[in-house]
Amino acid sequence: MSAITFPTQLDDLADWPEVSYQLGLSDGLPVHPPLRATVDALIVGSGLAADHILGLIPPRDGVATVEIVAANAAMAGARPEYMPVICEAVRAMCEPSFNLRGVVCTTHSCWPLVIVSGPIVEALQMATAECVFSGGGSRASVTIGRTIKLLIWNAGGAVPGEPVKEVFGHPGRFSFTLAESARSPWEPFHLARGVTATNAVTTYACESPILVSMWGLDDAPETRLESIADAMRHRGSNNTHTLGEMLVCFTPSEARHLAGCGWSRRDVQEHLYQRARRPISELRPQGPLRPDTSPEHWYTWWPTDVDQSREDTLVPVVNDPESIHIVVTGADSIPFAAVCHGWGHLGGYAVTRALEVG
Amino acid sequence: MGYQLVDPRGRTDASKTVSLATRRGVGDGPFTVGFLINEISRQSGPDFTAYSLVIESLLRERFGALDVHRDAKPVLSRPADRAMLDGYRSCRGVVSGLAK
Repeated sequence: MSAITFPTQLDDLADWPEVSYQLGLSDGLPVHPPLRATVDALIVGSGLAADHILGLIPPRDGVATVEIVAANAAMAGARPEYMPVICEAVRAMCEPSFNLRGVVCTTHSCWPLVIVSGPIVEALQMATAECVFSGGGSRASVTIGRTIKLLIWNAGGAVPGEPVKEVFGHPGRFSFTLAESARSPWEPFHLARGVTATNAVTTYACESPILVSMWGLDDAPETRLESIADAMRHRGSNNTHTLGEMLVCFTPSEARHLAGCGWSRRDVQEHLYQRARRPISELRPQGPLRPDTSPEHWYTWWPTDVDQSREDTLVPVVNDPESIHIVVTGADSIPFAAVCHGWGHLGGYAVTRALEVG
Repeated sequence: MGYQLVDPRGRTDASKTVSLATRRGVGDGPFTVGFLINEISRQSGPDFTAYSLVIESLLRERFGALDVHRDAKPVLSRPADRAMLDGYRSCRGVVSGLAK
């Protein structure tokens, strides 16, 4: 609990850094002062009224008006033209299926990733090449994700310890944004998810990316995808035990290779869904706690076509092929892939919203 | 003439404000205790269903006649739905937990 109250006016901006830390308005990184003039400009950029409510931010259930979102965007250093993306991201993560309260407070290392797709990526100069998961030097990429973080911190009151129980943390909790490359050989990400729009924003809660480099592989898509399937099915993942969703990123060169071999995004999803599986014998506890195969020990959330009476049954790591979110991004150089495990069946499911920009 | 600032924390939703129910004490006669298991199925080790049976046994030793309402959420990190919560309205107290 802060011993000082928020100053609605400050005579000397040099006092702001210390004030912001004393008030607990930052997770440790320095923040800009939320100046009224800057906030007003950001509100105008949103195209919405200042008191328009975008959602409630748990766990404190802070009311995310456009003005409050803009105040956090000002602290992040966002520009007014980023506001439509930020506002749609807030709406998306506030939808019930996302379970933001759980995502924010869980012991698990997941955090809302904001995925932007469509021509707006280039218009905002978002990062789609080198260092894409850490912002790639793009102001838009970093400050959009940073606004989401600060909003959840300040309006949501989500600070470590009480109420946030995340055990290890996640580097993406400082800022976690991804933009789809225009060099993708496939249809835009949001169209693949059934959202017909020019631009779109998706929120999806996930862990940090696991790099998949294509060591020792030939050119056959099946063998290359096997390395990715291997990264998707690690035993300690929530997905491996509870299904859910997963993000797989391909660099443009790898995506082009797959497309050149005649593989669509859908083909890749289907193949990974079939290959990223583990036998039940590897998922059940070993040693004295090892349960038998009687129904009272079965996972109730696994679909009925998973035969839990057999230890050699192969269990998928996601709900269905569409639950493997494929995004093309990253440097257009070496063929790589990255896998971001989700929170399992507990929430954080991807929500995609069409983005209207003037 | 200073710089005007906007508090980034804003307000909370008043309709979401909750307060703890009044402690009703044990009183006379039988009463109902609720157990809300945070998730149905655990594959490793003891689960909260078993632990709640131990608590129930201790309560019976201490207070005699006791009614019990026990239910389980399908998924641990998602909120219990309204219908499930309504089932606990007659309870003197509710114990919720997850053990593994």
